[in-house]
Amino acid sequence: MAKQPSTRNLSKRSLASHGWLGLLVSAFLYLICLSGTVAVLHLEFERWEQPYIAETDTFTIEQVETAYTQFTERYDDDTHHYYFVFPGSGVPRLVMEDDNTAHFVDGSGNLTEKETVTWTRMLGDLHMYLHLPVSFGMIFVSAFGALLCALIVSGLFAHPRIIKDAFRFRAGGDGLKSNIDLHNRLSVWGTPFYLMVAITGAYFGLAGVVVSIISQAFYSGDDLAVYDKVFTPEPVLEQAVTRPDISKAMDDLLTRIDRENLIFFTVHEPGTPQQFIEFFVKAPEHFTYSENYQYDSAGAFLGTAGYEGGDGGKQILWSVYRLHFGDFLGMPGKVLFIVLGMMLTIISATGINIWLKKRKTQDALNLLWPALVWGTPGALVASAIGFFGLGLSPTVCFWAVLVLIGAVSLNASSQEQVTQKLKYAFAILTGCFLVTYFVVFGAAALSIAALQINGPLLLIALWSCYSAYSNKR
Amino acid sequence: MSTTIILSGALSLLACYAIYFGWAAQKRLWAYAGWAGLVLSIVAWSSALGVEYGIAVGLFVPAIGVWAGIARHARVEPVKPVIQKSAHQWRWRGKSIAINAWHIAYVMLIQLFAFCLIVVALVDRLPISESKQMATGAIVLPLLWGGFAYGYVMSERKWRHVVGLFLVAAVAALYLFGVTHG
Repeated sequence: MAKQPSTRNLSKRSLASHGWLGLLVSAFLYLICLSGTVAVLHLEFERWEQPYIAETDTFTIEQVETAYTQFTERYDDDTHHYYFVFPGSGVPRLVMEDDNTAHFVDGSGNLTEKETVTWTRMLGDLHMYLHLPVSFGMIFVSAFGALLCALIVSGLFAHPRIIKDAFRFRAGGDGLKSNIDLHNRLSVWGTPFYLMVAITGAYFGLAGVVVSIISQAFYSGDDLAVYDKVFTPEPVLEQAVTRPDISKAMDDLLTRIDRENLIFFTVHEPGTPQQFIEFFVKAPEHFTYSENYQYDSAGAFLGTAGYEGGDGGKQILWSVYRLHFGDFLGMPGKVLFIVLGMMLTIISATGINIWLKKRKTQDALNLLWPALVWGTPGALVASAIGFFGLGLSPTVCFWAVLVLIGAVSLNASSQEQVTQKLKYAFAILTGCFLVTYFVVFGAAALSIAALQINGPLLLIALWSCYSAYSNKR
Repeated sequence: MSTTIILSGALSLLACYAIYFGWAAQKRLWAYAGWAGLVLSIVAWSSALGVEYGIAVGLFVPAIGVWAGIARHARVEPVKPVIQKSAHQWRWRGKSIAINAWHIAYVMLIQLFAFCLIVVALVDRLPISESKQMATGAIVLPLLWGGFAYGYVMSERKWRHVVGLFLVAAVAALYLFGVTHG
């Protein structure tokens, strides 16, 4: 039976809407999705940046006390927080830090090398605000979460043969059908994940706007009052200013929790009467980032924040991070999120491929788009070479290389040529990077911290090379 | 636990394949059994990993599981030579650029602030705790904004959307800033 005209009309208009919205978000969404997919491994990248640091899954209270003493004696600069990070954070290392500096801690509790996460931060910043000014960039990127919702809805309505084509895939041809089928199959079946990522992604930037509106409307512009209502407020304390009794607090804490779930603790407002210790502890089987245990300066237990079993709204808001970044279930959960994130990245790439292939004419966009798609991974690797090998800013390296790739691609004769050359370029850059990494880190380049990133990277480079070679034939 | 994880994974994959088989062989019973299997797999994942992780994994895994069916059904068509298209002639179209610039500003900027106001006003009326209001707003805001962005771009009478949104946002702003809240 022929489709009703109104249904056809809806599909047609939805497709037009989908196309316009897709073009609007295309390049930005691709960068956000690709960097987000890679950033699922942000904790692993932190280890990879300093692969020679000794790793451990255990700690003692004495280690923590020694590190805290050494750190506070060495750095008496103005800080509102001290932190101690445990292996339960997902990084099997001990780190003592304040708002400005971080040091690794050895088996005796002594401070060792400073922690640097420059490249990992570049990657995270690319995902969270595209290296734009932070406040504007966060809102800008979050807007793409909402527009991704629009794309999901319009995509579903634009697809009149959603059931008929549920498992259809046509490879080869002129590439149009394969791009359409890949785009549609990946889109439809992954909808729950994409919706989740869109909603949680929008939250990070829009929460600030919403909190500002609420604070202006109800709390005379006091943002903190809103956070205190929504989350758990800091305890109001009047106590003598003393060194926090971390040992006593930890002795009590370890009777309440499994020590492998301890993520980190914070000493808030050190050296003031409001000083208190807050332990962030993983809540197994829950998305909530942590349950928080609060202690006063004397190490007396004050209470929990209620993020594990308290108000449902509080739990949802505190769950956004783990849900968005796939930071649950350990490495299997991360692998699942990388695969699904890569699928969303491919959807954003194939969407524009379809538009380009359907156009009756061609111009520079036909060359610039594959340059962005296939050049971004290469630019990320180049930024790592610049950072590790030459000490350059990875952010500057990334954008400089990406712009260079775009400019060079304009001289190519076809988009197929751009794709092929950039696949080879990625493989060559990865080879250069691995050599650089070995030269810089020596034997440490064979540690688990290094190999868990460099091993898969090498495999991707080999696939890239093979793929470029196969296309040539 | 690892046994229940393996069983849950197997159930997810079997359910996906049953849906594929029902689709390929035009046998509805298989497709229904597949969908029922997917629901059951969510229950199985929940028992293996806990309710929160289980629901997420149970909903996400089919996106990968269906590729066994898609790969089996894939058809490879002969590669066609690349057709050289004529060069696009760029012409300055001021009106078109201005209209599209307005659409972008409306969808990305005006709708952002309008829906923030509307959602804050709406959730404030809900008889639930502030945390639940905020959580509801966090979920509803991108969906509402995205849904209306889609509707606006698709609409042939866009001015109606604009006027409607300005009116509702004005009411929301009046509610939030024009009255004293106790």
